[in-house]
Amino acid sequence: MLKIRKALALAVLGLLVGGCATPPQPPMALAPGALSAAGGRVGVAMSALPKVETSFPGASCLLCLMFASAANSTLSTHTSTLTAEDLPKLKADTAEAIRRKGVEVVVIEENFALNDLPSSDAKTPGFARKDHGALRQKYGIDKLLVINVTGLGIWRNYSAYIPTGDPKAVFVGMGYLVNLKTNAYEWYEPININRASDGSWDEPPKFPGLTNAYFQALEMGKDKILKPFSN
Amino acid sequence: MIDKFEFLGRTLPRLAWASICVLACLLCASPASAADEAPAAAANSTSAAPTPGWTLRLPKDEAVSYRGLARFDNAGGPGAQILYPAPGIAGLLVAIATHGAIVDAQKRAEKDRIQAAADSVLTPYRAVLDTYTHRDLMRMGLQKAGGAGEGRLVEFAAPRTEERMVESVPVFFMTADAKALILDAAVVVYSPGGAQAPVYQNVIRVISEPQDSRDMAEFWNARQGEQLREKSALLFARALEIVFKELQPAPAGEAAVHKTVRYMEGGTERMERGQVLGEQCDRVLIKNLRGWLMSVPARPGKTTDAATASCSTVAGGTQVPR
Repeated sequence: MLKIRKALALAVLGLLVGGCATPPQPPMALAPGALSAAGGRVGVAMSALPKVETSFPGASCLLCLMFASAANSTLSTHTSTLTAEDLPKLKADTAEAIRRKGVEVVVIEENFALNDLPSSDAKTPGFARKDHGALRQKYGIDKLLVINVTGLGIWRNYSAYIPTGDPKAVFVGMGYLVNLKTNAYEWYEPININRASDGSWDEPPKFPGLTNAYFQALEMGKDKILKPFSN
Repeated sequence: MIDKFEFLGRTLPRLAWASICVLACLLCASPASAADEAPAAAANSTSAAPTPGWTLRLPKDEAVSYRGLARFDNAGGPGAQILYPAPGIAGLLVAIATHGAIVDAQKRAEKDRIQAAADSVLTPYRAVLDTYTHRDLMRMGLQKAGGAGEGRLVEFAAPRTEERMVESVPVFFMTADAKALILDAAVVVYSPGGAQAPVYQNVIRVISEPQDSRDMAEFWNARQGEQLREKSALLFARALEIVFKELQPAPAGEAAVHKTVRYMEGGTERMERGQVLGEQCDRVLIKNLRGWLMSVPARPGKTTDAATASCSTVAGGTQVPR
């Protein structure tokens, strides 16, 4: 029995260490020549946009989350009225920017679900962790540009029951260009934008300072995606 | 709950500070027997209809406030996960309260550090700024404010007269790259006749055009800080002109449409959500979500031809309305 427990403990430790051994993907500038007529057709896809809402990272216990939600209920109510404005147009705008470089572009209309792709064997940076190979035949493209927005709204960091800072507007996600033959990244841009209110944030019920910060974050997030393709 | 106490505590938002100073001045103002007035000559008005005589009351404090422009985007990062020692409910509450007090102190200290680091941009100019008084600023500002009619400066303790009275506490900020000055002016206007209630109060923000010089310290300090003083006075004059234009009856317009406007703040592009009220001389006037008025430099090449054509360039490169 003791031997089985030791073996299990070693197995768990091995899994933990193995999981930690995979380094995160650092940002990659757009590779020269990545977007050219000779480079083949490029598909542009975008994930479903997340709901614009508040979040309280760090309020990890149920009671902590309950207190945080209650203390910020007016802010949450207002945040739910904010829209993503013209963020859905980002896919079309990016496609147009790439077309201006003389590249043939295919806009993939349906929402892109990264998690639905099978995992790849890649363990080193520079290669996608998901296998995008099947998309080459499905859409008749050679490369795929993905815009993946995972977080929008106003977040406030907590340490259990205590807020560690003021609420901030956030835009979280990433953009990448992957070569569908090799599954290698040719551009990778993580997006983690935080914007604080200019001046006081606590101005219920409309929180103009935070609302302004939200629209700033929205524009900055769009710029992060469009900038490499607009030169 | 905790946040409201924090708002009333040490770390007052910079933009509310100017408003509170103005309100404090209003409460402290008392009639006096003599007024020592500094006459000011009005320049030709080109951007608004001439306004009858009015007075500008000096603030109580002599020195003009200058701060570095601080950004708190990275303040208040993720907190550590904590396990509270909980020998009963009372113990848990004490532990939470203690944790709250510690975090609160850390937050204030962090904000103070960020502000102190931002203020360091002003170190090369302290010799000039420490001697720049509201009297000098407002006298120069009145001379430059052609669109605000004939204003004259009165002492803080001067009694109300039959003329319209304007009170303002300007606070200046310098951008981190030292390329621009930003004025936040809390303004209160009283109608002629000595009525106690103000007819207008707002915050006017004016951002200067970005200056392009290899050595910004040399640029601002040259000739005993002439550029620093002149640009500050010009921003204040613009704020006065905006206020007096607001006081004129406006035609009924369409419902406000909010959009995100991009503009230059020093060498950095910034954005503001609001309603565009007008464009003139490569500048855009915005009413932001707080209802404040902001006069900002447009991005290069982004104003209409009509807005640019409405300007001429005077000596020193400053654009003024024709």
